[in-house]
Amino acid sequence: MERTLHLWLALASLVLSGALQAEPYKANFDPGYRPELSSDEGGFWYQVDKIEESVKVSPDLVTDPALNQYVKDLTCKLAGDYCPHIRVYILRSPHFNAGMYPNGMMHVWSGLLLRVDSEAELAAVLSHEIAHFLRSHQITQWRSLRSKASAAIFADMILTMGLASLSVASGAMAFSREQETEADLYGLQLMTHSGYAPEKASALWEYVYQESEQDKSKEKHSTFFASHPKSKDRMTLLSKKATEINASGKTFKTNSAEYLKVVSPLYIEFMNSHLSLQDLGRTEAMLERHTRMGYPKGTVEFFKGELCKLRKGTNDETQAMQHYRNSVTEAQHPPEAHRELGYLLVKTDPKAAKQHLENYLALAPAASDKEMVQFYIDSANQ
Amino acid sequence: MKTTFFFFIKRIGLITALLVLTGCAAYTLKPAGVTKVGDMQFQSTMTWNKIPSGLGPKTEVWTGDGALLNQFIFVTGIENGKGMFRDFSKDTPMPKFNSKVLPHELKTLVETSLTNTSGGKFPFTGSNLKPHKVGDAMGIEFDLEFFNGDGLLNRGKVLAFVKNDKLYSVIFSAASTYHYDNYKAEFDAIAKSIKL
Repeated sequence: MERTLHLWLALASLVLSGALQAEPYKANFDPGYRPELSSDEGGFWYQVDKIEESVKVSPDLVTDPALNQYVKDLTCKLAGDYCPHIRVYILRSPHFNAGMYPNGMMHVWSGLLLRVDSEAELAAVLSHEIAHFLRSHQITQWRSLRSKASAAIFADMILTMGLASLSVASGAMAFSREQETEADLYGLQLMTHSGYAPEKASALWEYVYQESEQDKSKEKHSTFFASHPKSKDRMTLLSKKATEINASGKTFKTNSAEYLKVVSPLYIEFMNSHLSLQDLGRTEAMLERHTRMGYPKGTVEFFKGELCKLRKGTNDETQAMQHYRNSVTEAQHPPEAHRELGYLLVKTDPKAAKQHLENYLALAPAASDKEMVQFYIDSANQ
Repeated sequence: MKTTFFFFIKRIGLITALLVLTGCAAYTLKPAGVTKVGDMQFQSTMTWNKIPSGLGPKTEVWTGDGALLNQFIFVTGIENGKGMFRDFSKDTPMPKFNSKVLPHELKTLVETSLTNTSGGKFPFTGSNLKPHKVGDAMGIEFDLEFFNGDGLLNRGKVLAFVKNDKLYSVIFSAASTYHYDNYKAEFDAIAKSIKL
């Protein structure tokens, strides 16, 4: 039944894309548009403006200047004349998601940045979100929900929610699948207009689909999958359109190295946040991708060790030790790789354990757990 | 229509009465002094309220001004292979305590167990890990930090140790503004006076 539904949606998407393909997409409003406060849309904007005020002081806001400037510049490039009316907020949330709000507030989650492999893939997501904004999808969806019987209760619920519940509200107020398809195609138009390789849009969905296959039980609970068409359907449609665009012979850019350079300094912080999800199947898929992408090997190997440590299977302790060893042999590695290797060796090889724990303290002399580590070093001396 | 309305009012009345009754009955005053939770004895320096928590059978929760502002969680005698708290979500089950763990490993156990009481939504992170001996049992002490559902920063302190292959822990957490500073000395007093 579900498969039939997906087939129908894929067909509907293809028909829709065919029907709209001749005319390029255009925004529904001029740059600088702001609805009258007395209108329903004005009231909606007002409420979202209030939420934006809380986002500005959220503890989950990622404030790294280089990353913020990079995402902001890319958004501006894609949004053109609408750039001054879109404000990007990068939020520390390990799930794969981004969100666009009717007043021009855009959210990009750290979990998305961990999965995207290039500037072109990030452009694909940002363009998709900008397309939602330019086509006024949220207010359209809002009016549609309001016309339904439960909308009054729903309105109270969503408009009185704080930031913590925003993702839940976003899920409840999901765009329709038609709107998502339109945002995909309009997004593709925006990214290729700025010179980004169109096949990277479908490539991202292909990865997302593969990752979700690692952990089927969680796809239905995901905020992202609650509001977006199945990635396989999107992949098919976007791949077909990319082939058509590439047939023109025009060359496009991917800019993978540029992307890695900006995100790498935050990789450890974002991955630590991701590990708190305890989503081991997805973590494994992500780490394989990170290896291929070229994140610093010493750091990726450290997180592979962390994954094995969390999994606690029969050979996981041995594998964890091997990954930590791989990590410390790289010039660039987290000092914690020495600490974890040292801890794992405490029972079996106290001398080697002591050496790694000393290495950890030498590399991280201000470590907050140095008293604990020193306790093990002293124990090995006795 | 009329019947439905009266039925509704009656039901609300019944629920309110139940809430009031169960609410009052479940709060117990814990005066300052020597006290025992499970088989863990310690000395408190101020009056606390024992409150219902639903965290699990071997736990007890105290608060001074309400659990959202400050609280102590006492965990007493978790056996090998059991979780510190009951499972709150099937996607994020409680990690199981292994009585053969090294002291530093208790930090991850406590962090993950606390995180999983919210189904993983609000991660607890520890820092300043130190060894802490309770009698002849080697344990650990560390600082705790997390943001609750309203984005409010909470801070805390944790003591965890293993005695006779069983896990014991005292977890203090409070709103970082005022409450943490106001009650952290109580954590130190309790941690220092523990006897088993």
